[in-house]
Parts: sequence; C-alpha cells; structure tokens
Amino acid sequence: MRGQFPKYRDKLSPRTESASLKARVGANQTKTLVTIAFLGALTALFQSAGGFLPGPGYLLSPLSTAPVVLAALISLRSGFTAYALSIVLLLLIQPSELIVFPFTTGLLGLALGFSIARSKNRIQIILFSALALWAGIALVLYAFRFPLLGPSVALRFDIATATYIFLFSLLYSAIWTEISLRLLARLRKSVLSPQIRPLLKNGEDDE
Amino acid sequence: MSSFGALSTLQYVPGDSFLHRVDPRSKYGFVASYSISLVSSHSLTASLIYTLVALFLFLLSKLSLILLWENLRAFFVVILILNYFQVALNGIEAAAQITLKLISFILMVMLLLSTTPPEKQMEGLRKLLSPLRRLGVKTESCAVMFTIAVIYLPLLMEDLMRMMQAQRIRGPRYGRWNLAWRGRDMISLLTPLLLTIFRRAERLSDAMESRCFLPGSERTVFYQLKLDRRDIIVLILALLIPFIQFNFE
Repeated sequence: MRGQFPKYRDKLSPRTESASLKARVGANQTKTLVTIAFLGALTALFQSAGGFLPGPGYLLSPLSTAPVVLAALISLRSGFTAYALSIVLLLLIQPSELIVFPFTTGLLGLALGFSIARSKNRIQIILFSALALWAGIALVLYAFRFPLLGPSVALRFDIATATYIFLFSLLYSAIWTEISLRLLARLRKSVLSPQIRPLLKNGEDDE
Repeated sequence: MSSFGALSTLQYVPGDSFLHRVDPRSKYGFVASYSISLVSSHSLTASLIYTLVALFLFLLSKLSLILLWENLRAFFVVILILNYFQVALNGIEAAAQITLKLISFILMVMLLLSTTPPEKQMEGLRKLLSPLRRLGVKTESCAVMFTIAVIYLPLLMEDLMRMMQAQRIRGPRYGRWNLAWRGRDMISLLTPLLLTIFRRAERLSDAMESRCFLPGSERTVFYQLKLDRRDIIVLILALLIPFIQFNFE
C-alpha cells in the first residue's frame, strides 16, 4: 500500500526527469546554442504577450517561467544565457516588462531549474524557489520602491506584508514545481529519440 | 509586412534610405546614447524634443506609416495602464512624459531593426562585442544567439497563434470568463510549443553544421562593414546628445 501511495517527499527524484533533456540537447554545442536562443525568444514572447494579445496575453505572461526552467536544466550557464537574452529582447519589444521579468518570473525559472537539477525532493525545490521569488519581489518592492503588487501594497517594509508575500511565493512556487516536473515528464516521452531512450532508461533504473 | 504588432519592430524592411545605408555599429551607438539620454531626461520639453527627433528620423527612413501604426497600436494597452498609474501617483505631466519617452524609445528600436538586415545586425554586434572576448565572453555565440532569437521571434509567435486557434477550433467548453480553465488551456499550450521549438532547433542546428558552423570559432562574413563619413557624423551626433541634454537641464 505504501508503495502505491508514496509520501509527497518520497516521490521520484526530479533529477531523473531532467537527465533526458540534458542528454538530448546538451550533447551538441550548436544544438545547445540554437535551443537556448529559441528558449530565450519564447520567454520574451510569453512575457510580452500581454502587450500584443490584450486579454489572453495576460494569461500567457506567467508561462515565461517554463522556458527559463528548461534552459537552466540544460546547464546553469545556459539558464543565465536564456535569462539575459530574454531581458535584451524584452528591452526591444516590451520595455515595460523589464522590471517584472528579471525579479519575478525569470528569477523563479532560474531557481526552479537550478534546484530541480540538484535537489533530491520537491520540498527542497519549492522552498528554494519560493525564497528566490520572495527575494525578487522584496527587492523590487522595498529597494526599488516599485508598486509591483499594485498601489494597495505598502512600499515600506512590514513583517505582515512580507509574510503574506512569502506565503504567496510558496504557493506559486509549488504550482510551478508541479507544472515543470509534469512538463519534463511529457517532454521526456516525446522529445527523446528511440535510440537514446533505452540508454537513459537503464541509467534511471540504476539511480 | 507582418501583422504581429510589437514584433513587426524586429523585422527588416528593405529600402535605400539614409538610415538603411548607415553602418550598424553607428546605429547601435546612436540608439544607446539616445536611449540613455532619454531615460535620464526629467522635463516634458526634453521628452518632446526626443520624440520629434525620432519622428524626423522616421521620415528620413522612408518607412510606411502603417508600420509605425502597427508598432504603436501594440503598446496601446501598456501605455494606458502606465498612464493610469502615473496620473494617480504623479500627475498628468509625468504621465505625458512617460508616454513620450516610451513612444520615442519604441520608434528608435523600430528604426534600428527595420533598417538593418539581420546579417549586418549580427556582424555589427559581433564587432562591437569583440573586446569582451579578452574577458572570456563568447561574443560569437552571443551574437549568433541574439540574431537567431530576433529572426525567429515572429515565427514562434506564428506557431503560438496557430496552436491557440487550433485549441479554439476544438471547442472551448468552459466559457470566456472562466479564468481557471483558460489558464489550464494556456498551460496545455506549453508542451506542443516546446516540442516544436526542439524540432526546429534540431533542424536549424543540422543546417548550420552542414554549412560548417563551429560554435565560438572565428567566422568570415558576407558583408564587410566599413565606417565612412556618414557613420562618423552619426557617431559624433551620438556623442553630442548627452552633452546637449546636460547643458539644458
């Protein structure tokens, strides 16, 4: 029974989900370079969607975390490259998103990618990414004094507000951890070529 | 011409105007200097002058007014939201100032990218970044990635729109205003879009490698960039902009 319903923290290690992506994309330098360029472009496209698709575009904006997660899973350097590239592209196509992306959705993507590739369980991933997101929001709110969460949230540091923001970050990160892991599992099924799949499957069993 | 609003800024429009003939390095220099001065300006008059300069350059580029309208239309909602907050927090003058700044910046980026072919953009960027190579930065790869991203952004947009339309054709069951289901529909777009990207990346990298592309290696170029008198004038103007602004303010 216990085997059928494992505890949340005992679920399959997320590291095995990211291994396939690394093997597929990271093996060839040109492929890595092109993939990072595409992921950076997709990030910028999602983040700026609110501007050129008013309505559904605002629902697309939070998805900009996903390509950064994938890029960070190839390698941390690739993640930073995709993150920087999307910031440059946003500067060109939607400068108004420049404050939001680097400190919220982009930073969360980097933290998620980094922690999925290294952590052993979901709780560590969620905590690390929630901390990163909270730090990003706090930096914009309290250091840059930009009303990121609307005019109703005070720009002066307040323990209660900071706690609410952390709880929100925790919830948001948990949702994104699940989305990222499910996305990785789906991609692993579809992206991997038949030649590589058996090799990786053996590797996963060994782990 | 594309109908992707803000993304049409990134597309080259062939022509033979003064701006089309200027070296990309001079254009990058001018746009950088213009943008820094624009952001650091604090008066409405200065913002108005910058907008007029951008409009003058637009006339010089001989680009169509439809392109200008498409670009600005895409930013309409963002400008409205920004104006709402600015009027509420800092007053009408600040709102007018930020609108003018945003329009000038968009216009300048549009002029830079619409009058420079991608190959020249990449070569100009590569040459400008070359001093960073001594610090261990892979400037060749950076320039290639930037160019690929700029070229493929409208195509990715096309893919996204096609997938959204296909999703709509299959029949939305949950009503227009059911945000939770709409959000779930958006998340379900991720997998096909990412798969398309991986396939496209595979095809493109194979094509690049079959043409002997080696990441990070020294490359030969189709367009040899040469600075002439025209470019020197543009660069001098780029240097003068911040001085003029500091004197006025």
